[in-house]
Amino acid sequence: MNYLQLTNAVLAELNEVQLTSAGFDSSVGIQTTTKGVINKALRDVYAAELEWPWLHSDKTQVTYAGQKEYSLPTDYRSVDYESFYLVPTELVTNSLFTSNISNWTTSSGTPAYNSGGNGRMRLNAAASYATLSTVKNKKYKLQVRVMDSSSGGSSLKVQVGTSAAGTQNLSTTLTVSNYGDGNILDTTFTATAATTYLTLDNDDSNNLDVDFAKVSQDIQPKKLTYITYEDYRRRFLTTSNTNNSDHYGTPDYVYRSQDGYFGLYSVPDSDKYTITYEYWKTHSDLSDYDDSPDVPARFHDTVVARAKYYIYGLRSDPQFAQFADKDYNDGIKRMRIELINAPTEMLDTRVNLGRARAGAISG
Amino acid sequence: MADTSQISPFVFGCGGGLVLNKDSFSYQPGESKILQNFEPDIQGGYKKMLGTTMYNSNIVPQVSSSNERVVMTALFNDIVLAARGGSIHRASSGSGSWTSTLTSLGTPTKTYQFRKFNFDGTDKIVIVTGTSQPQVMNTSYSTTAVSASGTSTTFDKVEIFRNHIFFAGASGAEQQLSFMGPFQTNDFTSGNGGGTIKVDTTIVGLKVFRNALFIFGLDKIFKLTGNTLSDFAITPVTRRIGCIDGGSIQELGGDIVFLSPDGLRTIAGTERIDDVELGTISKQVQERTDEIGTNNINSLVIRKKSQYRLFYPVTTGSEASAKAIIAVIKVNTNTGQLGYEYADMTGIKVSSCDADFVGTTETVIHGGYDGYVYLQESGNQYTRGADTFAIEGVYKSPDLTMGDPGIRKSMQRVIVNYKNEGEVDATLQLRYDYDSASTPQPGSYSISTGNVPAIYGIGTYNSSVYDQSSLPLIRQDVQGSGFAVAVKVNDFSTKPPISLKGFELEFVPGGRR
Repeated sequence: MNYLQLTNAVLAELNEVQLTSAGFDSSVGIQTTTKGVINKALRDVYAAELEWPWLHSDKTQVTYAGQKEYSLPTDYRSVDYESFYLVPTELVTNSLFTSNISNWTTSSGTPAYNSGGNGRMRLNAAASYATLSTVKNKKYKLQVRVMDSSSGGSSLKVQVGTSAAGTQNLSTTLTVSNYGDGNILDTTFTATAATTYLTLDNDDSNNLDVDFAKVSQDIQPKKLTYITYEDYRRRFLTTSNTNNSDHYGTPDYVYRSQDGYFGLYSVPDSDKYTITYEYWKTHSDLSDYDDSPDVPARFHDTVVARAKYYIYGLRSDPQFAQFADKDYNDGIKRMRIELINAPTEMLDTRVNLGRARAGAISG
Repeated sequence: MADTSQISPFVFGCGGGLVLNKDSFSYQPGESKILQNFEPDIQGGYKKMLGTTMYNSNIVPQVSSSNERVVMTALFNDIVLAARGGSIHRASSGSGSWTSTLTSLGTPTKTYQFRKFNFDGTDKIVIVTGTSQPQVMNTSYSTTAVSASGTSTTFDKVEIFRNHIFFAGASGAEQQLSFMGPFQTNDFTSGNGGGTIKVDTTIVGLKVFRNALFIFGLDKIFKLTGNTLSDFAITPVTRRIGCIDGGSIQELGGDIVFLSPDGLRTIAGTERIDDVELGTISKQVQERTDEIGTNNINSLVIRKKSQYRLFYPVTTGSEASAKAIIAVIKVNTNTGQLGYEYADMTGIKVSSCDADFVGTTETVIHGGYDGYVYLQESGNQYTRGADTFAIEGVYKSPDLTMGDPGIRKSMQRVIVNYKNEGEVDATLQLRYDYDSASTPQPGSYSISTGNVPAIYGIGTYNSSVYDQSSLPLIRQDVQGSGFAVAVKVNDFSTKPPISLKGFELEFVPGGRR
C-alpha cells in the first residue's frame, strides 16, 4: 500500500470520508490527522526493532592515506561493526557493464552493450579501453571474463600499457574453449606509470562478450576487527596521533568514535583501500500520496493497526484502541519472528587461561 | 452477528419549511436551512416543484418592441387574455394564434389589474391599465371603455365590492377611491349610487374580504364597510403600517396576506394587534422579504395547495436568477400546529399572473418578460421560450446535534423516507460541522427509485408495483463524522417530483474530541 492507501485503510475503519490522489494534499480534519498518524505508526514500527531487514544498507568508504576517521552515513541508525572489511579499490569504472559500456573508450570498431547475463560489452572487430589511476611499481591484479557468444573460437587480446592498446605492462590473449560458459583470465601486472590503460580487443568479426574486467591493487581483502573506543584509546590512540607516517599501514581494526565516525587502525597508508560495511538506515516520512513505506506490504496491516490505535485514542474510544494495540503488538511479534536474523550462536571472548577454547555455545 | 448496540437512531419528519432566522442550536429537526424549489406539501413533507410549459406556443404579439413584457395574464371565459405593449390579445391553450382584442391602451408603465364580475348574468372583466380608460369586457370580447365624466381615466387599481366597482390609483388623486353605483359599469354619479372617498394615504391596493373592502395604503390600511353610498363607512385597520405593493395582496386560508415593510402579514393579525411585530407571519424568512425589490411584484394563490406565491423578479435579472417566495398554510407534522411554511422558488421570471378554475381544473398561468404565457404546475422542468431547463431543487436540513453538540457522531446510515411518482434522480449528501472546511465532507449518494404503488386506473405498466408501500424507505450507507450533521438532497433532474417525508440518521456516538 502507498501512503494514500494506508491512510484510506484507517479512514475506512473509521467509516470516514476517504481521500483521492487528487485531493490528497488538500485533506482536512480527520484526514490530515490520519495522514500524520500513518507516519507516526511507521515510526513506531521502525523503532520497534533496530535491524529491520528492509532498512539494511551497504556502504563503501575509500580510504585516504593518513586519515584515521571517516564519517558514517547521514541516514544511519545502527552499524554492524562485525561487517567491516578492507578490500582493494576497484580501479576500473564500470567494470561490470551492468547497464551500459560508459567510461570505456572505443579504440576501433563499434563496441556495444549487450544485456546478456548481468550486462556485457560486445566486441566484434572492435577494441575498447579503460583508463586507470595506478602507482608506479605497484602490483595489480587483473581479472577478465569473456563469453564467445558466436562460438567462433576468436581470441580476446588483453593489453595493459601506458597508452591505449599499449602492451608495456601486459599483453596476452583469452580464448574461450567451453562455448556457453566463458573463460576467465586471472593475472597480474606491475604499473610503470601513474596512468595505465587496459585495452580489450577482438580483431575477428565474431561476437566476444566481456562480462567484466576488474583491476585492483594486489592486496588481500581482510576482515577488520572491532575494538571499543576505550580499547582504541588505551592501545592505539597515542600512536595514531603521532605525526609520523612510520605507523601508517594496512588497517586491522575498526572502532566507533563518539561523534558519528568510524576509525581505522593502523592509519591507512594508501588511497587504494576500500572499506565495506553494513548498516541500518533511518527512514523518511511519507509525503506524496504514492510514496510507499519500506515495510513489506504483507506487514502493512500492522502499520494500520498502530494508526488505528492512535486514532481511536483521539476519538476517545479506549476499547477499540486496546483492540488495535493488541493487533499491532501481535503484528510486531510476527515481524520479529519472520524478519529478524537472530544469531544462532554466541561467542565467548573471555580470556582463556591456558585451557582449551570452549568454542561456540550453540544458541 | 454484528454488534449494533452502539448505534443510535435519530428520526425526524420534514415539516416547518424554510427557516432563516434561528441560530444553529434552535432549529427544529424538520425545518430547513435551504428549501429551494421544494414546496411544503400539505400532505406532509417537502415536494419538489412542478415545472412550467407554454400555455400557448405562440408569443403574444408585440406592439413596438420585442422587449415588451406581458403586463397582464387573465384567465377569463376559459381562455387567456394577455396584454403586451398596450394591446390585449386572447388565445386558447395550445398552438392557436393570438387574437387581437384591444389596442391603443398606451405604453404600459405597470402591470395591469383586473377583476371578474357578473352583475347581469354575463361574466365580465374590468381591466385597469394606468395609461388609459378602464375597460369592461364581456364573454364575447366586446369592450366598453369606462368613460363616464367627472372622474379620471387612468385608474390602475380596481375591486368589486357590494356590486360596486371601485377604482383607485388615478394620477394626481392617489388617495382617492372612486366607485360607480350598484351594478353600474359606466356611471360614477352620486344620484345613481356612485361617489368618491378619500383616505390619508397613497392607495396601493384594494381587496375585498368577507364584508369589507380593505384599502391598502403605503403606510396605513383602512376598511370600508356598508352596502351602498348611504352607509359606506371607512374605519382604520392600522394607521402605522401599510403595504409595499398591491401585487402582493391575496386571500389565503381565511385571511388576506400582503407584503408590508416588515414582511408578510395577515389582515386578521394586523387588525388584532396593530403593527406589533407579532402581526407578521414571515419572520422565519425575513431575510428574504428584506431583499424584495419593488420592480414588479406579483402574487397568486394555488387553492388546492393552500399555497401563496410571491414573485419578485429583478427587471434586469436573468430568468434563472428570478426569485419567488412560497408560503403554505399547513399543519406541521412535527408540532401538530397549523401555520405558514415557506420555501424559495427560483427560475421563473413572472411579469404577471393569475390562477383560476377552467372548468373544474385549477389553472395557474403567468406572463413572462419574454412575451410568452406559461402554464405553471405543469411538467417537470421549466420552459423558457423554446428551451427547457431542469428545476434545481435543493433541501438542506438544520445542522442536527442530536441532543449533544459536544459529542462526535460517526454516521453509519441514513434512511430516506420519500414519496415518488416515477423515476427518481436525486442525490443525498451529508454536511458535517456546519459545512466546515476543516471537516471532510463526503460526496453525494444517489437516491434510488422507490417502487411506485399500483393504483387501479392510475398505475403505469412496467413501473408500478402491486401492493407496494407508497412511502418507500431507502437505506443508504454513509461515511464521515461530525459534531453536527445536516442532510442535503439535490434534485436537478427532469424526473417526476420527489416528496421528502423524513429521515432516520443512524450513528455511533463518539467522544468529545
